[in-house]
Amino acid sequence: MKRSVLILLLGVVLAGLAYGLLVGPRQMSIQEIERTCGPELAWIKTEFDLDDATFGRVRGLYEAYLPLCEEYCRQIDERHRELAGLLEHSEAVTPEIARLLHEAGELRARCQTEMLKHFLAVSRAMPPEQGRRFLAWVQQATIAPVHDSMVAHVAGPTDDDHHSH
Amino acid sequence: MEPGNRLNSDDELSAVLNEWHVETSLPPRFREAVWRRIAASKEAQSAWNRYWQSLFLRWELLVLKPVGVAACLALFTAAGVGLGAWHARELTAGAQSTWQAAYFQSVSPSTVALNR
Repeated sequence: MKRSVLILLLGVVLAGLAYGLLVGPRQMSIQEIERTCGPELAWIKTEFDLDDATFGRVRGLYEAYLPLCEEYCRQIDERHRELAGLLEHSEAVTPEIARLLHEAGELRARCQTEMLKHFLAVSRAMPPEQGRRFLAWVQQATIAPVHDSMVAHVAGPTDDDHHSH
Repeated sequence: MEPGNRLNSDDELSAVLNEWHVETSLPPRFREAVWRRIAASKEAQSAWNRYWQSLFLRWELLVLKPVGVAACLALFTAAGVGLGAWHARELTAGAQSTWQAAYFQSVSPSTVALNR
């Protein structure tokens, strides 16, 4: 009986060891990537399997783009705050409200243009295949239409529609 | 309750409780049902014990031979490898998803907000 219990314990220890040998290094590698690349760029580094030189170029582009992006965001937020203030005391679309809406829309369009330029620059900094894949990813996540639910017939059939027929 | 009706001591309370009789009849064959339940519970407990004993006996028979020992250890190791591989994959997928959200939030906060 003692022998069989010992074998059982040995089995449990072996299972734990195998588990630890697989999970431990993976956990450490995730922490290491996050420490060296930062959580924002860790995705690009790992998803597109970038070497150090390519990643250095991508990081440079990212750091140059961020202040621009933040400035646009600040200006858009400013217009939205002004707009919220006006809407509190207005029951109609006044010329001032229309002007602010127009400005916010224009700023958003300029912001998106800069963003697209940044994505294109990043994709060019990558090897061609990864660059194409990166563009497809970011296009899907950022420039994808957001009005589909309102005017579905204009957007045309989706993938889900194809699957359901 | 009126103050005059209050019981003044534990003795009085005991006397009242002693006089109190619940007049109700037990369901038919109450005792028999109770004994049947006790027997069923004992039976279930012993069936459970028998199950564990037979399992342990099988285990002891299995590890009598070196081949059995090797097979069991291999099985445990494989289970550890399988569980570890699955958890490692989950960890990677979770980290990738968090990192991806952080990237898009940093490069396109307004679009992320609109798409929510």
